[in-house]
Amino acid sequence: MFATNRLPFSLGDVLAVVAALVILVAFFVLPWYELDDDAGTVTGYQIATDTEDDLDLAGRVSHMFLLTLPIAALAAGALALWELASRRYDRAVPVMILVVGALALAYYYGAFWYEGRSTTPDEFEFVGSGFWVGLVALIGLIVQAFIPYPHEKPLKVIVAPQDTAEPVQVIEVPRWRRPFRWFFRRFRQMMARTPMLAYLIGIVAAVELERRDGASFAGLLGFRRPLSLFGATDLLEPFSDLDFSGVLTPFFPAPGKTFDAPLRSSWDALRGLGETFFDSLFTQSAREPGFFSLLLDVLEYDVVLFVIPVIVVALLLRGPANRLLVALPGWLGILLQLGVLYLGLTIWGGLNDYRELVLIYIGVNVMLTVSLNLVNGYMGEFSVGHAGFMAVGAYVSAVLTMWLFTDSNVFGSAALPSEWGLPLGFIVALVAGGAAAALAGLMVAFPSFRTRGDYLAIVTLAVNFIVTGVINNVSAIGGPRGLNGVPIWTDFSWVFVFTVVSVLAIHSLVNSTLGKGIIAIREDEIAAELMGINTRRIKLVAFLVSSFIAGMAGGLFAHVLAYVNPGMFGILKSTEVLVMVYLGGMGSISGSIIAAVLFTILIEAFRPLAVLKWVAIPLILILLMLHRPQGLFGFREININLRGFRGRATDKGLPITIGGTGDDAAAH
Amino acid sequence: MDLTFFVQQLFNALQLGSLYALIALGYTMVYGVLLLINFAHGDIFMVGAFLGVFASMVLGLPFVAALIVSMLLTGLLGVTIERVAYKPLRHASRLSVVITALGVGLLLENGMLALTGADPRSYPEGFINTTSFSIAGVNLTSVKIIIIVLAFVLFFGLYAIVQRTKWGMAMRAISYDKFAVPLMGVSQNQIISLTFLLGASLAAAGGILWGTAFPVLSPYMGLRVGWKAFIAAVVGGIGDIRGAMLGGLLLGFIEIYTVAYGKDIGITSTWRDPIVFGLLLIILVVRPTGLFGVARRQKV
Amino acid sequence: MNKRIVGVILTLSVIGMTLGFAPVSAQDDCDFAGEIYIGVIAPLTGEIPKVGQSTVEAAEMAVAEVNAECGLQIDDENYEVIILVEDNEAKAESSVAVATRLIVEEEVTAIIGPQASRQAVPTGQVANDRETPMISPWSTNPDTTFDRPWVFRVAFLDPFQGPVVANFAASEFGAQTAAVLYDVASDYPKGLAENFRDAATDAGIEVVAFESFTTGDTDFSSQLTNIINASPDVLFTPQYYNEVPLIVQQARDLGYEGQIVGSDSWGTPDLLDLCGAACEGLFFSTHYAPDIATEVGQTFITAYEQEYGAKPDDVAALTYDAFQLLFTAIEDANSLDKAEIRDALASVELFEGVTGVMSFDEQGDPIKCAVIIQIKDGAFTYYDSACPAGFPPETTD
Repeated sequence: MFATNRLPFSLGDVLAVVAALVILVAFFVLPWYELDDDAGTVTGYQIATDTEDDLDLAGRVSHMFLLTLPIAALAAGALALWELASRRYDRAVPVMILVVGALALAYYYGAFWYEGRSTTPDEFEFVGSGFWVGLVALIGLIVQAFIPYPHEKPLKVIVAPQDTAEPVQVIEVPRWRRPFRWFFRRFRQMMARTPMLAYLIGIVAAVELERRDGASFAGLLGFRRPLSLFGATDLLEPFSDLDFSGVLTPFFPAPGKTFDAPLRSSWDALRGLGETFFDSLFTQSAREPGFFSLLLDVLEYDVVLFVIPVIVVALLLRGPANRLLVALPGWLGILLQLGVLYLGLTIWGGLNDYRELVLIYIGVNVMLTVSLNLVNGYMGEFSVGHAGFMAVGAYVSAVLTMWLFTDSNVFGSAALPSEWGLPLGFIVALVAGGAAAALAGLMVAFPSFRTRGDYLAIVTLAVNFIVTGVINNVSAIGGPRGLNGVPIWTDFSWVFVFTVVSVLAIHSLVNSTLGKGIIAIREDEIAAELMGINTRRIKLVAFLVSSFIAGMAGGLFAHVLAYVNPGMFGILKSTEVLVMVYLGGMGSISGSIIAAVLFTILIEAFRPLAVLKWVAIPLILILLMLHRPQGLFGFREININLRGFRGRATDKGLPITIGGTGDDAAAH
Repeated sequence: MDLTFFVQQLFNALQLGSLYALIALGYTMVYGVLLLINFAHGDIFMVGAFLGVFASMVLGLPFVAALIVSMLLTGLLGVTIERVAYKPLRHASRLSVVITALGVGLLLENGMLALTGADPRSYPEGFINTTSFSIAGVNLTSVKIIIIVLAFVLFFGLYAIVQRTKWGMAMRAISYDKFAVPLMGVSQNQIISLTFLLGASLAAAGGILWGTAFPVLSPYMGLRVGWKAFIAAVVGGIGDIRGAMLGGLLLGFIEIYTVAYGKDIGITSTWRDPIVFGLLLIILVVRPTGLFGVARRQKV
Repeated sequence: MNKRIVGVILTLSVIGMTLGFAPVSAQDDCDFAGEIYIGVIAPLTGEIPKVGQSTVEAAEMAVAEVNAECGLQIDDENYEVIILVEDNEAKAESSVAVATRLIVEEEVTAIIGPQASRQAVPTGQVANDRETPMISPWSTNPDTTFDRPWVFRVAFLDPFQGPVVANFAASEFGAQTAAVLYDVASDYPKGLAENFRDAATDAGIEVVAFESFTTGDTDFSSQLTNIINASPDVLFTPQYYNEVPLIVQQARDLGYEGQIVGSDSWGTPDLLDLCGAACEGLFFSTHYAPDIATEVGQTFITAYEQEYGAKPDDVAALTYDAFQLLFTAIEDANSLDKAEIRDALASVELFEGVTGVMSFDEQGDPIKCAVIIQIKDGAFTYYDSACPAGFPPETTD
């Protein structure tokens, strides 16, 4: 009966709507808690309408959240009906329902799980029935996702653009990737024509939600505190016990610690390791949840607190945001979006110092990565000593602020009134640090006129070693003991402003005439010179700008740690920046930004792995390079809309690429 | 400050320099054939030294046998790394291979740390004859002599392979034109594998000699030495094995003699690093393609 | 498609099975009223992984011991001690990040670590600003604790140890001339080298050579040739145990026949295996001597050896002491309030740890005796001790 080609919905849609209704009904009707002393059970309806705290659930359950679910589900259900009625079946329905279904399951699951973990479960008891309802609903939804619409053909991607004369090359999408492609395409269709501003406001809403209710929700999931960094730092905690060190030790014994039967001890270690690994996957005790349950908890936390609010708010504000952005002049629109971004990040980072610190590190890393990308990505040189410039900037600005504005035991009392220090003095110090780093950059820029490629790489490396070597020898600034007592002036606002200014500066530089010259040098230096490009001047500018920004990043870095030490700016730091640049992709500013964010968070997230952390990170790097040699975004920028979409939305949203026409496939 | 002092320092410099040179040779060979800076080379050197521990402590082999076993195993490791991590990227941008190499290096050193623990290792006592003797006031050890001699033997052996054999000719040919040579019926893959085999075995030899001269081995030992050898190879003119040898020796001489005579002109040994790197910087400015390097002709 | 659905169902049933593992409440003989969280910051990766390993081993032992005795008693209730170990990669910025995280997110009561001054100095600032007691077991830089009421340490400072070694060299060997070989890029050796130089000059020893190298170097032949050329009576090298064998070996190979003395960074049993006969008969100053250690010390050494199959090094001993000190302070304070624990730490008098008896000055630095160890018959043996003026007070026996 569904065989007709023009049916507006699929069998799966019907199933999904039924499943969503089941969830709704189940939520209100099924019992959630069993009260003590046989006082009966509590249903979702009772919880939702319980405004007086009659049930007295020990204050553990945030009613806000219990209310979020039915409201979200009702809204999604209404939207689904409306979209169906308007025959826009390919847009919001499945995804919205899928999200609500997953939320419902996660919620039931969380509530059930919480009972197991609660240290004082005497007052009430969760009833597990909700879990099974949710499970059935989710299976229904997944089935829906896999049943194609009657008129759909198998997923194919068109590689060649259509206006060329060459025959169109059609590539079958591998089976295992189809569901993902399907999901992302549907998702893109749903989110079509949403400008960045709408997402940013969604982010503000989400982080505000976390600020208000994150703690209680995390408590519900069994955590002591709101999850930091979206749960990234907690996720790998179960694996912190993994100790590989016994595996090969018998074959490489230290003197005086030889093994009688190396093979045997190695095998034993390996077996023990396997057991530990298996144990870490599953929950063993109340205090140490297993990896799987943590994963579910973290997903639940992120989806409920971040993903859903962002999507819902962005969809709601899509129209108004477009109209606003189109009406505003371009620069004002950008400024507005930066302001909203700043607001979102401050709320998120304001929750505690650790988050703010991570944001600061991210900002510093973005500055370093973007500035190195100018030289390595856009100009095509291979600079491997970026940390040296950072060191110069850090030391110069730290010495200035300490000497001029603070009483320290290194330079004595402040030379100038300390109230001049913020903000003016700090700006001057940072710029001076940048300028000094730019001077050090000359040590690379001048040799670069003649020395190129890998030989220039050695020059940059040598400059890095020279800088740290010289600092080690100047005992007035502490030598290897470092410089302690740098005022802690860097906060998130400073880093935000400097990062934004640096990124904008590099962006406009590479898009200027000069920037075209920089790219020309990368493509062919001799040809560029023949075209009349002053390659020396351009190289000078590129190295100066790059080291200037690195120096400012160093200055900010020094003023957050309150301490600088030449050892902090060694070749390892340079390597880290290099990794970030190539992870993000050469010649891509957005790639650099994303890589810096990812890398900084990865470092924090992998910390529980201890020794294995630096095994995992290179592995990821190698695998990424093998699959995407150009990095995440090599030589292209992410397409984000900062100016708003003009005109009216068509019913179809974005063109679809199902076995036929389309343009979004060309991006791959 | 006399001749004895000078000669003593000369042997110190020869020992350090020839160790640098052995590692630099591997860098430069790979570079010559693939134009790839194999940043993992320093860590292959470390694995070589550790395999020496395996051969001597677990298998109980004497010095020469351990050296050969370690060179073979490390050579195989080098070939494997090339096959798994570099070969798929042969047509990708040069720098993505360099970053992959950086990743492989990090993986090797941290993997070794994770799998074997943090205890420092050394070779068993009596692994190598360590008599020290004095000739005209110059104090030498047998280890020092063995290292210097072996380094030169290996260098000349390698030089002979590259200059006199068909394989060597193929290697040079590929480094000259990697598109035309496969058309002549030379298997590019085999030559590249051979290069990695030779380069990694030399690193292993360097590792074991290093471990006998400085008998405290740790997973991070290749980090700094690797960078130094890379510098030596580039200063010599990367891609040229004579350049690597000379660059390694030069680096050793500069490091040793800056300390030895620096204080006579008022520079304490604390300034060694800035001075050594400053000198190298100047060399590269004066000779932009290193001592032996030839500027690659670019077609415009 | 059917396979896929089956796969999904299977996955979900696995998840369902994880539910089946009903969380078992910890079966404890002790009735814990709550938990005390203590952060441990250790360099598990990076330049000094061995230090990190010893830190964690000692920390786990200290905590296991105290929990076996039903934890810490506060107001007649037992509290379980839980350590949260974080790796700082031997990097200052990571150390600051994990310290901040431990304090603001995990809400730890106190922090033990970081070990190296390079990380301990900036981390001390974090702990001090956020009013959390911190004890760095191993850091010797005065800045770590200077003007920071919340930060303490267990190791003695360079200005104390430098003179101890210099005076020992003067009195024991009657040295007239001395040479120093140290790592210029590492703050501990550099600080100690300079303190030794000043103290030696005061003690009438002329420092004839003051040579340096850079972290990671293994070839010291040039510096040693210079030193031998200056023919000193004694060579002082405040380097780590993994550099000492190289220095000693190369010095002997180059024909140096004088004495070589070192500092507490020598005090790792691995040194004996790595150095072998070359180090026989050499002296160094450190916190405690294994062979004449106090009862606390002997118990610790035996237990550690039993648990990890190796003798504890100075890092392990100092970390263990830091924990015992903290436990003492918490029980003295009889409270979980950080300020009261800090006050209790500051007022600890004559704490007896593995590394000797100590009390603390107003900066949170320990006042304790140093011992001189001789490497004899492949073991660390007690030779002499040197105490600060007026310490320990006469009242103890």
